Amino acid sequence: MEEDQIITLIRSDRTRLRGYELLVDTYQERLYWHIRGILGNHDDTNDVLQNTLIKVWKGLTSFRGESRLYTWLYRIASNEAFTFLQREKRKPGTVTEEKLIYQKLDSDPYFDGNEAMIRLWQAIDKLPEKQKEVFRLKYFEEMKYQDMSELLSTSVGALKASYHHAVQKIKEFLQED
Amino acid sequence: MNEKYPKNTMNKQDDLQENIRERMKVPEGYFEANKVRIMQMAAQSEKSPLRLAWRQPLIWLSAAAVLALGLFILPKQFLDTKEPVNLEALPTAAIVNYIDKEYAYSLEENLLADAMGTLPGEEVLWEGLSEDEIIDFLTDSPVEESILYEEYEN
Repeated sequence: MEEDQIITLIRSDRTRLRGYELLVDTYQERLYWHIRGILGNHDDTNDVLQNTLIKVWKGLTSFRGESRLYTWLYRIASNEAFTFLQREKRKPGTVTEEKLIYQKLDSDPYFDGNEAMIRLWQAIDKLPEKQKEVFRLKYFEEMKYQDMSELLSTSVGALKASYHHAVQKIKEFLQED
Repeated sequence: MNEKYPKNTMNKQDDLQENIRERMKVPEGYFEANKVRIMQMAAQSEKSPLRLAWRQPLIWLSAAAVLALGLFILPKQFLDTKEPVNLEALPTAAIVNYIDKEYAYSLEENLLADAMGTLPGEEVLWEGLSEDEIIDFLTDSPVEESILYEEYEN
């Protein structure tokens, strides 16, 4: 299995770089979509992905294998993305969160959605944290409920319910106007 | 009512899937280029002398040895110097202090004071005593003789 192979490689000084290369190959795209699901635009996602991968490299020796490798990576990426968001919100002259998302998506050359798409994004952002997380994992990463269950330590049934509620709330939000 | 976003477009989860994810693009060759960039950074930090140094056990051992030398061995060496001591040149109080500290457990303070013609705590005038008198006093005390001679001669 790829994950086991990566872990074996990163545990040795001699093969750590090779293990890291395999890790980047295997997970950078998933991490990218996870981060982009939080931040929306490509440029911010690019910055955060780089910071995430650098942190992963620096912390490789401290990874003890107590959790799945992707769980560890996912946590680092989430932390980086939310820290980035908080910093953005604290910047002087920052508009409301909704407008910030709108501006960022609207000016992103790698997002060709119309205003309605941006509105959908805002709807996702308004979800309660747990539903938002489940929705993003399903929606952007197309993660299976079983994998999500391991990642979030939540039962598959509860995850399905969260996703269902999230979809309902998004629909309601979009139909408000 | 939002005209740009008709209600019926959100009826299925598939519509949601199509709506945003499909509209998000990634620059051509982004992941390949990003991998090269990241690997370069990792390789550089791998080669960095500082990083290598921290990872060498010998460096840690050497650092620990230097620290131990600095903290424990050198000061003790300076204190335990075996340079010959000229008793006459030493201040009386220093000699008394030395004897007091080193042999206090076996010397009777009052006897010492009597021999010096002073009371404990008072300044002792060694000039009034000959070397023999001092040695006589010290040899009468329970301190082991050989140690006394050794200390005196040093």
